[in-house]
Amino acid sequence: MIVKRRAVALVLVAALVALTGCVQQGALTNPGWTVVAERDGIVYAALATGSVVALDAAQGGEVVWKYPEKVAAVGCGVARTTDESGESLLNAVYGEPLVLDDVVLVGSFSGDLYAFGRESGKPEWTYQVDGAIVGGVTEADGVLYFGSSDGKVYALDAATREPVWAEPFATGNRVWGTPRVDETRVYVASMDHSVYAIERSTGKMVWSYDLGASAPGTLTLADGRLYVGSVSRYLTCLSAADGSELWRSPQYEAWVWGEALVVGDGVYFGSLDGKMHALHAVDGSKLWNDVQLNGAVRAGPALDGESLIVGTESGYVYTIDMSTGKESLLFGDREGEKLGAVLSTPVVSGNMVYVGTSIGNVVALDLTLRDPVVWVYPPTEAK
Amino acid sequence: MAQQAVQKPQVNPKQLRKSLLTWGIVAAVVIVGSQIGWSTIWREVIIRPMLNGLLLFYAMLGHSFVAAITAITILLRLVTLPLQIKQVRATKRMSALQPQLAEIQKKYAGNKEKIAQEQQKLYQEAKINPLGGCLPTLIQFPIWISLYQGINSVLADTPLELMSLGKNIYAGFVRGIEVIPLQSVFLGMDLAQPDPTHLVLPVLVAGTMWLQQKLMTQPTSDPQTASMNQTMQLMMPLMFGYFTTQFASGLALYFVISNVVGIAIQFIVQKISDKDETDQAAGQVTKAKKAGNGIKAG
Repeated sequence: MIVKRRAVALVLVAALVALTGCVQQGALTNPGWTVVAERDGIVYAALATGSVVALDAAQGGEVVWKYPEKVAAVGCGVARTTDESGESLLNAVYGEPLVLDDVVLVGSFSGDLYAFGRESGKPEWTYQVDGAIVGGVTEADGVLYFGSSDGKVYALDAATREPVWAEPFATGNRVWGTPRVDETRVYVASMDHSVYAIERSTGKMVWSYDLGASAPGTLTLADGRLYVGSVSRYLTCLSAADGSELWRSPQYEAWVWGEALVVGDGVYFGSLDGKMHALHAVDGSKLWNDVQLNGAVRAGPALDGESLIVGTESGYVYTIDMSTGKESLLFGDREGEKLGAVLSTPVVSGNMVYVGTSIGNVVALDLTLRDPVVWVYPPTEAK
Repeated sequence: MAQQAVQKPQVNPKQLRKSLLTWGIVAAVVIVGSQIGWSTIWREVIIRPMLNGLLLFYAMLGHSFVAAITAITILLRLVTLPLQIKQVRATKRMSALQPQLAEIQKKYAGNKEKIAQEQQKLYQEAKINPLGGCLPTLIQFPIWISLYQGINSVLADTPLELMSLGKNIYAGFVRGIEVIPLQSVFLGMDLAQPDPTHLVLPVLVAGTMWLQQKLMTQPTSDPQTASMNQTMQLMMPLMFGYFTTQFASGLALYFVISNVVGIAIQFIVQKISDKDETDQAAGQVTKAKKAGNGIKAG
């Protein structure tokens, strides 16, 4: 009897060990979210499930290519099978893909920057840094700029993959936002509480501004001004020229994380309490009253003519009239439309909106249709 | 017609009040829980205070994550100390009853109903609730789970974890907001990542857990229970040692600190419990002596 009990206990322990062996370290708590880009009718997406896909938008989301085509390891623990000809899934991806003429760039939490052939979907090259890559990549004049959890900002020659600066620019903490560039400078927000302007040619700091709190998101550069949200629940507007503070929004109820969208004199952005805010770009005064949506607004809004397109953590997508702030629900309330949180910025192209969800779907919505779902990848009951 | 004498069951008013109060609380919790939602209650009553408490300690203790975990672990252990003392006492009393329980099993072998009746009688006579030893553990359990979740959340190594932190931090908690993200490097180790050596922390976790369990386990005369205890004493530390290789080292560090504090507190509780026993025994001897003197005098 005693021997039997010990044997049962041993088997239980072995089962637990085998089960925990199913996942890569961190993968349990770090699935990422689906991020989307579009160019010439092809939708490129890094899915929360670890694949990168190119989908033909006009052909109902038909797969043009998928990486990995064949996954190297399938199943868990002792039931895991390994296919030598297969490839590993990507670690979590949070930053939007950057589509260049020949490659699609995707940064991963593993610290790898992948370049997939735009036509073939084959990995052309990878570049590894010490920390996780959470933000997206910006390209200017053949140079790629991106930040990392190691607190550094990297500048790479896109053709040779050689660093452009003698050393990466080091901030005091994680850089999770996508760098923004103008003619001479790169601008980044860091979680060390500061915003930095860096000389593009040398990688040396021009100025820095202390926000007093972490800025995990991407700042916006428009008309010589920088707009940056932070965990202190403000949106701060800085002069890009010298980093001086021009104005600060009222303090909101929750963090301002997503990238602000600047259109004309309007600055539009969300906060984690599910509110959308609109301010005058000139002085930060209120453009319209805050609009309460269902679910936290993590990402920035997209622009469709006179409307904003906003996704929420509860899985809803709204359109908001830019001049009045009147919102209407586009996606999420019909049967089969529960496809997980929308934590990345939707992409607008013509009448179409492409949305990535936290469970690894890409949803194509036609803004002109009453029932807007055109296709869902991978296909689900939603359409 | 002969009148039958109806024997009214004796009700202990104190016991009745206690039972009514307990069931009243349970009913209130169930009603409130179903109205507000269990996840909301869990978040508002357990997770958020824990997470914000961790941040507060971090802000107050020189931005040291290790100091914050240590402080909150000690605090929680102290808060739950009365429960632990109760648990040790209950376990000790149960251990003392083991020979009599074994005797009942032997005497009424095959008659499960009778065994249950006799055991119940024995518990009543000894004023022991057989579940009394489990209740304190059950109450402490949510606290440890929330601390585990809180640590994971405040380290916020990934955007999803940071988002969770963002939604759980109190809006007006300025000091907490100022310290985000937490400095997670300790002795050259990133506390948000698993132990890079795959050895030091797993061994420390397993070792301290084994020692704590060894101290907490009461000796028993039942060979089956003894064997089970022995297996658990070995398996649990091994399991947690293995998990440590997978989880953030901040959590591993918490396990070590919690175990060390647990060992220290177990020592104290044991001392208190031993002292109680000595006092009781001394009291009984004095009583017996007095009674003896009384007889002599009479």
